[in-house]
Amino acid sequence: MLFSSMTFIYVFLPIVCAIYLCVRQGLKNHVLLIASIIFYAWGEPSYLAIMLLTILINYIGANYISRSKKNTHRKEILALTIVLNLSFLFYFKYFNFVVENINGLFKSDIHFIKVIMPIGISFYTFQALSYLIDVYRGEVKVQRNIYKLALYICLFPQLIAGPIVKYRDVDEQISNRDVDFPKVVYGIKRFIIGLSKKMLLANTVGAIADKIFTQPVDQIDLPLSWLGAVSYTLQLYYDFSGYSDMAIGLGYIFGFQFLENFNYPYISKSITEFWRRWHISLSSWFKEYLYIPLGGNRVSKIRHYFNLLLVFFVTGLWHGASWNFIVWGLWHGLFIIFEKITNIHKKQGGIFLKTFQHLYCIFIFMLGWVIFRSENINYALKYLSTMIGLKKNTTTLYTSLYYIDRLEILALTVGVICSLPLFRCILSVNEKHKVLKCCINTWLIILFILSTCVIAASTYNPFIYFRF
Amino acid sequence: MDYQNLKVNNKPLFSEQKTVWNKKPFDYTLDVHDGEVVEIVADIRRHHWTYKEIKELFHFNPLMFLSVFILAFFFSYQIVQYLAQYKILKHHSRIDIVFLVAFVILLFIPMSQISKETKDMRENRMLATFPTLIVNNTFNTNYTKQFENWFNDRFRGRDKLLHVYTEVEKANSIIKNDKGGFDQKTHWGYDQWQINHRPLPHDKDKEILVSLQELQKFLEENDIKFYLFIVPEQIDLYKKFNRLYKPEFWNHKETFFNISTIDFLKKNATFPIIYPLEALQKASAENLVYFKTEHHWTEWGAYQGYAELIKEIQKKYPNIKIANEDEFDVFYNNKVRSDWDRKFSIGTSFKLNNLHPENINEKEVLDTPYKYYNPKTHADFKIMKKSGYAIKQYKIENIDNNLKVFVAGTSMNENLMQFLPYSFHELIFYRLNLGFQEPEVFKVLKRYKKDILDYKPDVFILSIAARNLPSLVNLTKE
Repeated sequence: MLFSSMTFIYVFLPIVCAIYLCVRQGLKNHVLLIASIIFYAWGEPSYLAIMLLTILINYIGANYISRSKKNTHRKEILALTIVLNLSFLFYFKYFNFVVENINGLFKSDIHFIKVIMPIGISFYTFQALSYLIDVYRGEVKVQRNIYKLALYICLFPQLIAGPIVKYRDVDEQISNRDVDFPKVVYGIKRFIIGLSKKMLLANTVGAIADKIFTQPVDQIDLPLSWLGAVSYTLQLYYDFSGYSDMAIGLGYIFGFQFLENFNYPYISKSITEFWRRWHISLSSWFKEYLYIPLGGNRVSKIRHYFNLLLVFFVTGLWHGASWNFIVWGLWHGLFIIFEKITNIHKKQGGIFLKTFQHLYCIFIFMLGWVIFRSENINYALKYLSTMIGLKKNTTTLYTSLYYIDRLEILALTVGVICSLPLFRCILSVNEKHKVLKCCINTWLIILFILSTCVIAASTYNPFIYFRF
Repeated sequence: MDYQNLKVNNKPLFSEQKTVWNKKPFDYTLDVHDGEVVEIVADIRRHHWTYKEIKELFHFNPLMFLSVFILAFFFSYQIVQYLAQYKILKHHSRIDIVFLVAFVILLFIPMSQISKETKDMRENRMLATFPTLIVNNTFNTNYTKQFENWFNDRFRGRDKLLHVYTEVEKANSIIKNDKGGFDQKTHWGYDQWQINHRPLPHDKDKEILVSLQELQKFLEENDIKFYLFIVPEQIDLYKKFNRLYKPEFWNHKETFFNISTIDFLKKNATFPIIYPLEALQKASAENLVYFKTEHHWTEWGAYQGYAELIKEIQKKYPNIKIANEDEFDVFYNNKVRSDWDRKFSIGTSFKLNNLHPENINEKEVLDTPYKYYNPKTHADFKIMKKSGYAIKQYKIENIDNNLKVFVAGTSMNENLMQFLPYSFHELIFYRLNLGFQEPEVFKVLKRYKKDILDYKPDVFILSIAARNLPSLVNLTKE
């Protein structure tokens, strides 16, 4: 089930909220667990088994680890459980990719498997791994109650698109949390903001990006290539951060406080800073469970750079089983190494230097998004060469009306403005500013209705050739 | 009032109990002479309300109401508790309380009433029904999808939300969606193909030719003459109304709208190819040859195409005649063959590009009189077989030829069939793209080999639109 569907917002959410608020404290987790299972099974019931198996494996693995006194034994169980977790991920997400590359490389004919990736598998696998590793490290107590562990792994607000919540951040909240008025109101507001980001901004600017990126690359000229890149840059941010906002908002409604996942990444002055602001839960996961165990920066320079490159290689791979994701990850890794070598991001200076730093960062991550969005590396290279003016003889078929209309221009403008931290404090306006608060609340309700209109519009589905 | 055993002049009209309302009277017409006495007898009593009537009168679903009421009660009970606990004791924001209440009300509105309609006239389709969990003793694996469809089709306020959406959409000069578009400046409509069309790659030309030649071979082996009739596209004639394409691109004959493919086929094929672009261009000076609302041609346009086709067939069969305009009642009408005006019932009709009807200003679109043809009564003309729009068979007894014609084609032929049967002794038409999806649509031999051999036609006409050319590679595929 998607957050941005009529069924979720107007059937699932009110029913779950009503039941959740009505039951006594001891049953609240059970209600959430059942709701989470229904939420997950709604789209593809057959993959529920994979998730339940993941829960079981991690429950048993963590319990063994906590009970075992021999360090080598603990290590073996940890390794085995990690391998089991990753094998699901590999099978569903990466198997065909590996086969494709082996076939391409060795001219072999290994058959692909017919499989659809279970939704959210990358997210819940990483959550499970964080729990397991933390138990092994002794940073958290093992969870003896399987229902509570199941709730942590499959809690529906963050199940399909994150944020990747670490067990230690919600350990206490799973057992003991309050649902109070300010939390509920804040949660609803965050949810509406996320929904509006997704439905009104991401989908609208995404339509521009889709139109441009589906063109043959020879038919994209310089301005069009930049319009496509800007649109996709905004689409990705509002889509993903919108989903995170909805997840955080829903968490608040049910009494959970998840950590922030985005912090205005597009105002960064370096790629290093960008990764502190973009998909924070993923970058901090990789930092804690991969980068630091590899030695982090407390090793030789060459090894440090290798560590960084490896982390970004895996980050790219995590996003998808395709070479363009890997190249995208390495692209970011290379620029982070470049920043480490030159210390460009640490240089302090006047407005010119700051502007340069911003432009440099925007340029790099936008080119990165083009690699991320392209169907293959070949397309990406051609697109990038158009963007930087290397390719000139292009013939565009359509007028600008085809690519962009008034509403899309409006969405682009609003998108650019809202990516700046100008409205950071709108949800914490003081009660003294009654008029402002009233306006914000009214505006949020309007946004909610408008978002619903867009969702409702997708249900309008006339049958064109009925009469023929 | 409830009426029973109603008799008019001793003639019983109904015996069962019938309820009659001021606003919904019972209608019965009777011819009477001046001064004639009419005797009306009935048992009449005050109306007793039934549960079903109450339900229908208030659009009321008691089960749904009860569920929503209980949930809303529990929910509001909790809210009241919060208010008591936090507003009074802890002085929480009054503004936020109003916000929360407003949000909760909005949250419950859509499922507070579920539409009972079975069909949506605007969308031209049946609405989804409530799914059952167990079907044929097995678990319905599509239950969730079907439930979503059911709710999406029937939730309360759907029309209002769609209305708001279309109002916002009007800010754009061209309203587009994934099925089509409408230009608010020129008042011309486009379908998805016209919006997203890209030139056909030249490497497909040969493949199309080979496929057509294979069909031709099969037909010639069975003594059937093959004709390929290609209906030009609306935007080939009315380029200036499609503001999505760059004007300079219209001149690129080599690459646009498959014209280069048609030239290639004409140069290399040994069967006649009829592409009546020039005739339509000439005729367009007199009246619109295509509808403004989408891609199909008008009857005036179809008549031009028909005349060109017959001229080509006359080269081999000189006895064939083109039906004169005198044989039809020619009239002009502003209406288009489109579902958004359902009162216009002649011929076929289709939806206007999937756009919400409220998006279209009817006056601006219906400002053009189209030339229409209604056939005059023709004693010898028989419609032998009509299977919806899928198969049509015609026969004329007294005509100067004995030709049997087999036509396989697309929706463009719906208008063409106004004229084509008047030139042949017998004609059968099969609609290719009805109930079939690509690539099955154009697998002509696979689908109609037996029909062709059974019917034994003298002439086979493959009648398609220019946009269908790429699909012709499938003609002889299994």
